[in-house]
Amino acid sequence: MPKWRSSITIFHITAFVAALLIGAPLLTILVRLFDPITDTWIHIRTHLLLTTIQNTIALVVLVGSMAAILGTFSAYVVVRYDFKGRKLLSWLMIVPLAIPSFIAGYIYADMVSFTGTFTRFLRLFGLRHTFNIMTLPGAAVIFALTLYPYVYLIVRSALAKQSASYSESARTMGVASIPLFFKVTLPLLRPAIVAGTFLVLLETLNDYGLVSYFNIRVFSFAIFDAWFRLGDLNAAIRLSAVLMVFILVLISGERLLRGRRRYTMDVKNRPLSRRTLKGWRKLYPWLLWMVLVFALFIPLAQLIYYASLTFFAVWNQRLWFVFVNTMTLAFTATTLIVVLALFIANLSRGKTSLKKTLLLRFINLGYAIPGAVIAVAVLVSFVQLDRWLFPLYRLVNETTQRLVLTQSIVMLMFAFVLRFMAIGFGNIEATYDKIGEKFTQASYTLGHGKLKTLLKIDLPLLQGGMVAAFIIVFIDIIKELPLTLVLRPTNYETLASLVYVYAREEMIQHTAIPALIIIALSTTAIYWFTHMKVKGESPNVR
Amino acid sequence: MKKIPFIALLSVLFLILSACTLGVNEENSITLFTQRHYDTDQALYDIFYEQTGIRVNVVSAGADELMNRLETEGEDTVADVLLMADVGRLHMAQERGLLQAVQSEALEAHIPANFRQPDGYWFGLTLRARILVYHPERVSEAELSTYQALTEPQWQGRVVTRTSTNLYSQSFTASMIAVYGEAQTRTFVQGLVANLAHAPRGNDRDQAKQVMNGEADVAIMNTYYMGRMLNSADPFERDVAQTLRLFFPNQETTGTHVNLSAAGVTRHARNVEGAVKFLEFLSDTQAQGLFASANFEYPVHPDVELDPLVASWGTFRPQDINLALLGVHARHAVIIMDEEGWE
Amino acid sequence: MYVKVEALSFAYHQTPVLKDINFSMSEGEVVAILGSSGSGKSTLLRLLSGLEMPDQGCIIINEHTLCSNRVFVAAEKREVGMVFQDYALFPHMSVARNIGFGLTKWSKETRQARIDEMLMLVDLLDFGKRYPHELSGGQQQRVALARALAPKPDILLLDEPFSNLDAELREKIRFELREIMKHTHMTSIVVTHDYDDAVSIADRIVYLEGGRIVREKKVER
Repeated sequence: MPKWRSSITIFHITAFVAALLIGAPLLTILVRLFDPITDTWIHIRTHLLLTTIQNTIALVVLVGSMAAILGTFSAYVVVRYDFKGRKLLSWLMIVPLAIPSFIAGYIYADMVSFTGTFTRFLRLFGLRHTFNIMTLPGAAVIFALTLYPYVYLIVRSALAKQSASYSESARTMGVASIPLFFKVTLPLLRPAIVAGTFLVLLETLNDYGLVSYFNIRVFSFAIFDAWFRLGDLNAAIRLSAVLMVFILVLISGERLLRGRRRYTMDVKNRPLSRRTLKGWRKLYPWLLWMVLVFALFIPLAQLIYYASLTFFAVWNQRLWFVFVNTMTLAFTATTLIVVLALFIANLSRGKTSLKKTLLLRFINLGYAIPGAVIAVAVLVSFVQLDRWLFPLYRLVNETTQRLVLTQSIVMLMFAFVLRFMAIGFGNIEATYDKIGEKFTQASYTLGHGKLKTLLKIDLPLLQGGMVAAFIIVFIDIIKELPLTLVLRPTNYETLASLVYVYAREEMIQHTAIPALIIIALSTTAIYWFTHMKVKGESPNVR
Repeated sequence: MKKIPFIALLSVLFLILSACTLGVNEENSITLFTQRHYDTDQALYDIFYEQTGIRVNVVSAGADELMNRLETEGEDTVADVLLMADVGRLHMAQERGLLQAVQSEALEAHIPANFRQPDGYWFGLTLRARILVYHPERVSEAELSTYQALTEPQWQGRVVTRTSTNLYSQSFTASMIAVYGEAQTRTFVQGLVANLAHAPRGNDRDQAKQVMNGEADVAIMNTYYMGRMLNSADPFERDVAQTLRLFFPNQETTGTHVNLSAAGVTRHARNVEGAVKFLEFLSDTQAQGLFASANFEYPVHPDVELDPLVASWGTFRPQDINLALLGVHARHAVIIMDEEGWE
Repeated sequence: MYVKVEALSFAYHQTPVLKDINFSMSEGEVVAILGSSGSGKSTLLRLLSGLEMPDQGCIIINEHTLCSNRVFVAAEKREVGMVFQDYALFPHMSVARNIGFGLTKWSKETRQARIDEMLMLVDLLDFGKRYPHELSGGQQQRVALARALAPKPDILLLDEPFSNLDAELREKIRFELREIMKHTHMTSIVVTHDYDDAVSIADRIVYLEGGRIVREKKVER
């Protein structure tokens, strides 16, 4: 009896603590909403709020539709057709994820500027035309090109799992291939497409680097603008609240769309055999290569060229420190997130109660909240926390400063945990769901306790999910900008913030080397992630 | 699968490494919060250390980040000196109680009165002008006269400048309020917005490139960007800067708008004496040349020679106002710009 | 009586699954619990193994009162062996390590001896180093049996042991299984929905319907 009962209590306590930690900063925002209205807020409301909302909706619609089409089409081609270079292409289509949107934005804006490579290239042919991509549609294209892999990854795995029988049965009924795609394949893929697109939109709403550089007044930009340019935290908090409402609508919309539909049904899977490309369909792979040219090869080539121009100016000891900082921060924060996620997932597994659902919603909320809002919330809460803890600090050290935590890396770490916990947890939870409870129960009946079962059975089986969680969170953290910018301790530069600072100082060429390091790190991580083979990959031994 | 121990090992390794990279604050030192980060600055800090034995710890970030940090940290801040590239920001820092007034005969001797805050809250160190840059094939120098002239009908669709969210635009508009008052400034902003070639976009260099490209004929931008483009890593940027010409507007009337990089001693500085010494050092002849030419700016110290490139642009008459007014009117400037649709 | 189940009741989310279950078994007896899906037969097995906690009632196995209103013994503390429906062989462990997994309290030598003994029993002596996914369905089932028997449990529980096997194999395995259980004189409970399975393996059949025992029948051999 004791073990059984106590596990529920620990679960409750953990759930409560997690909810409190994640909820407290958000609560701060809520409380601040009741502060008196400032002039700045009235100014924003009358002159800027409408534009902000319009821009945000336009951006969300544009990015969402482009990324959904791009991701679904490329996944479909790669899974359903056989052609030369399919395997390579299948992997390369993920790699644009390694390029942070803001870096792609800097590079493209520079390339099409008057002195840019692209403009000069056109001039070779006597074309004196320049494009202006520093617009909302321009930004949308760049977001779509760098973020579509989220849709691609999810749709690809859904397509691979989609049983052949669906489309084969439709084909025996005489449905041609294009109507087949729209009538059978696509509706079955809808949950995957929606899930992928949802991630893309959250990343878009989170971005600060690109929209501020392009001067597109969407929410994350407006929040920092109110906070920094207008110097009004209160107005920033109000804007954050409006954005949260916006996101909640988005989340409920997604839930509503999904409804009671399930991702897959447990039918015996017989994967589709790949068809060879015939006629005009032979163009498909080339279309994908074109996407890669724009999403990957051109930005990389430009960065490498700039790296060669600025190598001696940027490649120095400071860069090494920044690199070490970034790695330390990312490794520590990621480890923390994965361990915590494992702990919570282990405690909550197998329970399908209301409490679990609520906890999951709560944790997942962190990823839905843009960095701008988390930054505001975390900073405000940490200053308050330091004020409360001050007497305690004094006990340890008479001459201590008041803002101990606020000036430490702990604050940034906490913000990372808040924002990226959902990703770590989601991956581990999914693996837990996949392996089910039978192995754990088998271990119990063979006389092993909870701890030993966790170490000997669960951990080895979860390894795949944990490594996946680790890699994805790691990539996200080294690319992260808004939280890092606002919450990093003094003199603490990461690769991403260094890129941002150079770009702000109008030294685009100098961003190349740190940007390339970020891309190289992420690409390695993606390669690791997509090529890992875990023993017991398919635990459904039958 | 031995990845987990491997990852753990790496984490520990990086933790140790990073611990080594964290500097230890020396006894006699000051901490500088600065918006500047030029490699030549470090050389100056080293000279200062040799002369005084005071080590300079540098925290470099954007102006708003620095100010927010200073404000959040309150009396617990480590900063002794705050240096920012826009006078409006320094005024805001002063208003928010982040700076303290200091008296120093040396500073008063080095810096002309209109380039420092009257009570000693902040001191200008380098100067730059917001000038007109034009394409000599499409605009003759004779056509140019004042900022206000750009609102006339013949400039319809020919002018570019930065967004209103940019600090330089804010201080520029604030200077208009200081010189001409609110009503005239509003008219000016209206006219300027009406004559813009397109919605403002890009940084200062982009303004020059837009002129080069024929999207517009005149750009409002800062002097030192021309210097920086002439020394760019990218040969094509150098090309742009060599082709375009500078014009100092309002020479016959109220003078060209100038802005300062300026510094002040923070309210809760621990080493006020060291901080003042540091400001005296930066404003003295020895440091001024290097400090200004690092960014192709004008030194505030009247006896210091200009960088040859900067000197080649010729002399000019700045607006005759105490630059503290740029801060006083900054908020108002933002409101006018937002209301008149300067994006 | 070796096994005695008294007034056992269990509800899942307020829905009663088992109502007032009573039955007993003598040592070495093999009982089949026969019922359609939803009859509560799997739940009964999970209660016996300690994976679920009953709302009411007692389970006495080999004079240990494992469960009553006051004493609950968790699964890992019970001397109960269980063969899962889909075997739940640990995919990251070899066959030998799977079998040895429950033998933690044994010394190294006796443990190895026991593993070999078990491999011999299920006729898989050469398969110790293989991994579960390298075995056929029938072989996997035998490993699962060996793993459950290895720690010498008081009772063996089998959940639908034949559901994952095709018809030909089924016949053979039924026979083998009964041989092994009789050979080891193992008190066993087999849960199944298939009458043929029940008849071929058990000494006695207990019919479960809607969470109640409706009748019992001895199998004549």
